[in-house]
Amino acid sequence: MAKLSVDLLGLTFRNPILPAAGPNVGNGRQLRLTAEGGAGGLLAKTVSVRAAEVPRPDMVRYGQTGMLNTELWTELSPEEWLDREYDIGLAAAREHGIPFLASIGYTPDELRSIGPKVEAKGVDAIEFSIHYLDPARLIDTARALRESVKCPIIAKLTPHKGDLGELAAMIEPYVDAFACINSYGPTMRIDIDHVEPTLGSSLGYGWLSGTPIRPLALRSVFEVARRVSKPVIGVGGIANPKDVIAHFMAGASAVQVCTVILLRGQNYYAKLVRGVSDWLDAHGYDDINQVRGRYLERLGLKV
Amino acid sequence: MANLAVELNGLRFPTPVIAGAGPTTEGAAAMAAAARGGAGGLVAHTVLPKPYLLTAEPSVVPYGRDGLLTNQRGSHVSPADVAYPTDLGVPVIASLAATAAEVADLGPRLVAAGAQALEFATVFLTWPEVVEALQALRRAVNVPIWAKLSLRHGEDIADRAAQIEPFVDAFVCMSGFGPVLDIDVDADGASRVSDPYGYAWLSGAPIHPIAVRTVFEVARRVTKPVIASGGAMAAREVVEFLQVGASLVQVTTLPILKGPTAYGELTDNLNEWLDGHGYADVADITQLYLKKWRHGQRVVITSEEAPRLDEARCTGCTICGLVCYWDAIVAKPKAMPIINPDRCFECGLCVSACPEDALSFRPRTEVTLLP
Repeated sequence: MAKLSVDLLGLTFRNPILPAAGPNVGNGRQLRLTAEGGAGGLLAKTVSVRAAEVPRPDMVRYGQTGMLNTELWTELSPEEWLDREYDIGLAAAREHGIPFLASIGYTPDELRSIGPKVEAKGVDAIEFSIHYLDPARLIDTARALRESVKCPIIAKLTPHKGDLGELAAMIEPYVDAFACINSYGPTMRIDIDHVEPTLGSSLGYGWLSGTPIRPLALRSVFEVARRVSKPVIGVGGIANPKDVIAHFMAGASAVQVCTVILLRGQNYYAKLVRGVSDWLDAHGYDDINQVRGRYLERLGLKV
Repeated sequence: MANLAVELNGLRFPTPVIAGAGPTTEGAAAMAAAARGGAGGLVAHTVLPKPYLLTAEPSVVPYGRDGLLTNQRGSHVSPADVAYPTDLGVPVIASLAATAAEVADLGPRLVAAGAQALEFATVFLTWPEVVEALQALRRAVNVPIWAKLSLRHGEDIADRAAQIEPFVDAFVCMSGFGPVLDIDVDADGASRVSDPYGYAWLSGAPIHPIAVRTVFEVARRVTKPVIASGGAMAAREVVEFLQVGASLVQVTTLPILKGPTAYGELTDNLNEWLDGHGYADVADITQLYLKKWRHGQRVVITSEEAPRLDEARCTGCTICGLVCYWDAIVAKPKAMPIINPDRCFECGLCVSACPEDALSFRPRTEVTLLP
């Protein structure tokens, strides 16, 4: 049995497969199911200074392992999270001996307001999601959270037409890790029989996730990993154990999954973990960290 | 049998399903095979000022069952050797990628070689170079010019289209998506496509929702015709492209995966769809969605609806229960799922995930607890 636990941000995760922020971790009960399902750590859905007003419908399956969404952040208020949901999730994490991460958004002022309250709940690290690519705003945002909390912080980046590594390098002084990538959009799928949008956003647009974006995610992870020295968490299109290995080879130190869990259920973590373990055994590795950065190594780049 | 013929830029296409530029339209034999296979028009493989010499294989690999990754930039045939077949009964369009300085020679050369229109691939140039090259091409030729747009130039694709609209006669949305990277973990972490960084361009079903959005967005903005390209693998996607604003649909990945008869099969399936839905002419569905939704819809942020079960269709597979994150569906194998409309968030996942199409949204008051 290969070693699957990973050390990251001063925390030990029992395996490298974590949830990505989404409805799969949308309340305390789902966080508990995520822990029971076998995730290596927990991460709660993005909380902001107010509840999101989510257009309905907000999710549509695309193919067997893809999806379009017009989700925003949590539809629960910050008070509901601070008074109840975080406690349920934290209790589940402690029971399973795994770290608990929060996700918050979005502007510098919002992060300054919500960050310390979330940290006071006892979370182990905080991820913040960035949906824009303007360098000055990126730095302001990262710095605002850095100055507001003491726990490790993770910048979740949005895919980019240029080199995502350049943007990551700009905020590296303020953050402890990166998560790459958010879903890609806008994209669109219509109901041809009724000539109607499938999603409730004003133009029917949604953001694409799952298998269709895996090659975009791998490119982004590679570009960030070759440029920065802090750890990268790979997110995007993981549907089977080999996809986890591919993210590691591109430079990831852990991964997050959302779409495949939404479509296959919370118990799919255990199947992914077992599959990764089997793959490592079959290929003669005794630790998942041995495959990390293999793609960069092949190109003669640093690991 | 619905009428499928489309006229665009003065050219008559017997079906809106046409062959996009790629290895399946390289050379006279391949183009003849595509025409025989039922393509309504042919965009020949992209000609470059200097032929593209493949230095690295593999250059085209499958991505999943219905996608491709490629590093091919264009044809390996030299401009001097290009000759297009003119006796195939469908329009022949040349595709080219070149700078402003190069199009003055290359454009007229391709017209002389038999091209009835030119498709200009923007993906390899910076945006200022694209604008300059299209202006030069407009001065150099009298045939219609199609600009094939790429998201590489940014997400504001409609702004880009509007900027070049004076110099072109139609827009093609969109080029392959990229650059992207896919890693073969069983080959010790090698890229699945050869390139200095292993980068590739993605096409086929994975990029279809991206292409649909770009077609819709460009069609909302410009007055000249839009031609769709990106992941049309079945009649459903052709219909979707036409409804959101396309006049023609290019297919490239599909015939690479399935062979040249794929064009005709797609056309037959389009015909069946039109017949089944009571449309006599493909023009009846063109821009149907665009006209209805170009200004958007009212955004609903509460659950006004919930899924209603069509019991005759339900097989008791339990997928709806598995994908419900609001505890609104209890599904047990071989039984009808129990839907609680009061808990439903109206997220839509169960409706779209149901393999039997047994769920559809209805006002909440019409959805009763089952069974």
